[in-house]
Amino acid sequence: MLRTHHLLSTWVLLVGLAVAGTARAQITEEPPAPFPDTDKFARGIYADAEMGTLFFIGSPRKPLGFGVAAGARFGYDVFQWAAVQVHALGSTHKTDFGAAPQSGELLQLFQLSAELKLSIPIRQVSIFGSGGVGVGHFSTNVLQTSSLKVADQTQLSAIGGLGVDYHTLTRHFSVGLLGNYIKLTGMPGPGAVAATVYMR
Amino acid sequence: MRKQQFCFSIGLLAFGVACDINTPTYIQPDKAVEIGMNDVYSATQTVNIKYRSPSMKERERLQAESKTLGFQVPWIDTDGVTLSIDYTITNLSDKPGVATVLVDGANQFTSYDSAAVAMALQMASMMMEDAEEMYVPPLIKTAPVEIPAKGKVSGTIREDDFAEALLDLDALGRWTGPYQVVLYHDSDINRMGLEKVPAKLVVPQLQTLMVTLRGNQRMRLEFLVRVRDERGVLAEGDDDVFRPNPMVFVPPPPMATM
Repeated sequence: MLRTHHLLSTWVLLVGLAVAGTARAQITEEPPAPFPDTDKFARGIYADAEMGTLFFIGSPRKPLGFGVAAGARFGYDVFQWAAVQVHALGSTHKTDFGAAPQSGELLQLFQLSAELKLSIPIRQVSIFGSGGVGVGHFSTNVLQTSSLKVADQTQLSAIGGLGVDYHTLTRHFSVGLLGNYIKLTGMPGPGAVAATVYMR
Repeated sequence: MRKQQFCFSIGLLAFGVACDINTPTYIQPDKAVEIGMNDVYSATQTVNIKYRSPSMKERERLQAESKTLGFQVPWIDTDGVTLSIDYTITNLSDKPGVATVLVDGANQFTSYDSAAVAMALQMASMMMEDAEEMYVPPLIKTAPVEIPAKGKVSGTIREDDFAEALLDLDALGRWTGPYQVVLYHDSDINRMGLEKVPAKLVVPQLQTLMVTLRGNQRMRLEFLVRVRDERGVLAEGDDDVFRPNPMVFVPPPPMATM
């Protein structure tokens, strides 16, 4: 008796499934856009911190090597594609002048510049270029006593670079890569390159 | 989150500023020291460190401290300024050689020049018809080092080497310690010759360094004096330069042998 009841229930279920039509959900609003809305990214005053390396090109390359660089930027987005910022960048180097007494000394280079930043936003990525002028200051006068014959501890500087920014879609955060070319007026050689990663 | 970013950025900047604290100033002599030409195997180069004069307030503080301690407190002391020397000796000849670096100098009270002292002693002993060659130790002497032909050797005279030398110089000058006893003994091991030195001595720092290269081949000494100025007493720009007149150390005449 129990078995007959079981079979009957199964048949009723199968017939029910067979005759049922396709279920369709009711559309009540527009589907979300497949790309992020860049208007929702935070804009206005911003700060970012960077870390990377700074090295000189030409004759100071070997004596100053690759320095560890860290910096920060404080800026304001005037438009979605343009910002002004103040950029502080410091790097630390260990001197290597071969057997000369100037070898093995720790030296820091501090730079402060005012910059203009222009961006091309492409969805959550933006490509940007920045440039400006400022001052650079060496923490000691060791380079002035060296074969490099650096003119002064404090020098004018020009900085310009290109970078790529990736927005994390958490409104306030983005990360990026930046390469800057720096020219200090009193340093021999063509200039320096700073390559950094940053978090904004 | 924005606050965290801001704090992180400020932290990085603070780190940068902290790196600039207490960074040294390097003083280079006018030219390198060269020996081995015209059969002269010892040569000296003098470096003067320019300190600024104390302000009125600083003079008053020094006077008050001097009154409390019972002796004249120096304007430039070893707590405020520390020195070291980085040097490189180049053997310019085709033969291996041996070289050593000697340092004498002057603080604001006393000037000590071992070569001049040796000469004075030799002249005195000649007058006594008892001429014998005398060795007068310098304030600092590095261990003799062998340098291969056309080779280079680098070294450092450290801050603690200077600390011992500066105590010796002050003991010779102001506290009339017997100079050979003072110079031969390491004060960390034995305080012989320092009996008259006060316990709370404020040790004066050098203002003049006489750096000598002594060797047996044609050689060149290049060096840098590394000055760590923790109190901002190095003269800059238009600062009024501190110009004391230290007393030249003159050894007591040698006793006549019977």
